[in-house]
Amino acid sequence: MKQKKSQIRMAETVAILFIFFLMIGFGFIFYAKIQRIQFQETRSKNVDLESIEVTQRVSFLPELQCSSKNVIKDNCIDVIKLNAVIEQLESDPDLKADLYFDLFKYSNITVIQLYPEEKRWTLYENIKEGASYAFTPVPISLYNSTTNKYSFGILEVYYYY
Amino acid sequence: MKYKKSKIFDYVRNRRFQTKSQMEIMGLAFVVILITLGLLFYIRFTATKEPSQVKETFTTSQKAANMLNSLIKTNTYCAGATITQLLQDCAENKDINEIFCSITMQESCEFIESTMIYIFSQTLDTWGDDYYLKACLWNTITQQCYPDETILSISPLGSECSSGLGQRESSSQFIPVNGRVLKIWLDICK
Repeated sequence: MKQKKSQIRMAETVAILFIFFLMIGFGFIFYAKIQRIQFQETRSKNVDLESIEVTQRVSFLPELQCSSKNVIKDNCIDVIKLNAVIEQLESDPDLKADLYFDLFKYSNITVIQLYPEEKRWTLYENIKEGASYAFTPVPISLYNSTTNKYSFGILEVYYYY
Repeated sequence: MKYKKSKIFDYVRNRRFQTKSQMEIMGLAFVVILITLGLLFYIRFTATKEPSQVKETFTTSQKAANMLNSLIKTNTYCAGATITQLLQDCAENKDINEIFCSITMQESCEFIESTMIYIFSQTLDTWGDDYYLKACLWNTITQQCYPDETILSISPLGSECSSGLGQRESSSQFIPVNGRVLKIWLDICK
């Protein structure tokens, strides 16, 4: 009788321990899931900030900005400067790999003239295969200093992460 | 009083919970319920938090400001005039516009509207943004448009963005017209 009672007590202790560890297990799984969600949130916020950073860098790139008598015009790209930069990047691949990679990382930057005529320039292209991307469009003015005319355009930045 | 308490205790102990283990299980169940409730609250307030709005806020505010600034500077193929010059002509000579676009056979007022609609169809419509663009002669004293002096009004919604706080990103420009002021503004609805 005494042996039986102790066996019951033992079984009770084992059951309690089993439930205890089960609860710890559930708690751990739950904590891991919450941590994962929070990590993804932080990552998406960082990606957003990085893509904004790249967009701002292109918008304020001295090589492209319109200027008159050393006064910079906001939100404007000089078409002649743009053609010169593209030409330079094509003739010197090291420039793209060294200097511009530090600025634009993995991204695809295109300038599109929408009005009055449609035109397209690919300024920088470094696509990360199979990666996700953040797309940021920025409306801009395109200035042609030879004709002294402004066109309406879009600066499209695809940032790969 | 003492008698009453012991009577209740006896009732609970002897009638409802006949053994001590049953009472323990009830306590355990209570603890489990409390923990579950705590976890549910935690999920409600942390895991289901709204995703980051950093990029959206930045792009919307930049879109509104840059779009309007770039638009009014743009030279059109209507006599090489800028949108600003066309707006001025439309406001100054409302009945018979001075600038006539021979390519499209349109007067400045009509030409601005069709040009704006075309540009928006290639940009904001493609990006899925709702917007409201309006140009009117502005009364600087009442801070309102003069009645019947609206030059331009374009919106896919057919009306303004909802007026609540943080419901739109707005950008405006003022253009001088014959001693008066023409206000043009673009709201991008959120």
